[in-house]
Amino acid sequence: MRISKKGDEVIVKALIKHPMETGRKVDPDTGETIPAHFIQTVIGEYDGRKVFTAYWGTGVSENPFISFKFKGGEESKMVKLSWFDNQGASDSLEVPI
Amino acid sequence: MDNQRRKFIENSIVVGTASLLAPSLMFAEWPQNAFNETELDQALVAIAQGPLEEGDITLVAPKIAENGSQVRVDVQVMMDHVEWISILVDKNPVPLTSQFLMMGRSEPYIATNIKVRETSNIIVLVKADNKYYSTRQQVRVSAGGCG
Repeated sequence: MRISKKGDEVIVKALIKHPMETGRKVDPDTGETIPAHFIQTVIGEYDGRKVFTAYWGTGVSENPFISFKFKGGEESKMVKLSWFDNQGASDSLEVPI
Repeated sequence: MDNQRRKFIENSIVVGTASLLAPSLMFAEWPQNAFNETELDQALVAIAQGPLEEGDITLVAPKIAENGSQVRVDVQVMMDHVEWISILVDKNPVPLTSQFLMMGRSEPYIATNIKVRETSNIIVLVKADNKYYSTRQQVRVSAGGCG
């Protein structure tokens, strides 16, 4: 996750490692359909408050890139990004501005 | 207060509460119905409860994508009171790719990478001030992006 500040605006850019499987792909070795496995919700928080929520389907690319902006972020305060997928896995990362 | 009048007031309260709660509740969780739709028209109906107007939306996407599995989409909305931004692809098996909720300090901007299976229109739908706005752009795809 990279965070930059331009005037009053904070720009967050992140790459998340995730397969984002559609549930339509067939494994060439086994001939079986690979189950859908994708991030459904991404939440961005600044200083403990939500500034961003994304709802994703299987149309978001593998290893998703996300960028969003918010106003009024102060230096050294924390930005947290969390994700939750359809199989119950989740992860989060916290970085100061 | 007679019964009829009380009933009327009770009904008004129920209706009033429902309409106040509707916008925030609508996307308080992952919008399963909209993600289940396999046709663009149905997906649009599932997320927009009104006519689509042209708005001040800048959509930046490639005109030609060599690799449909990673298509960068950059959306900036130059309107106030944006509630959410949705990105759809008309020819994808699931047209709705993503929905982004603006909250508190949010600026109405997002960028992400989406899958575009074949040459399609990318449609950006925005809800702002209780109205719905859209813009679209065609992307030609040389190699498909959906398995």
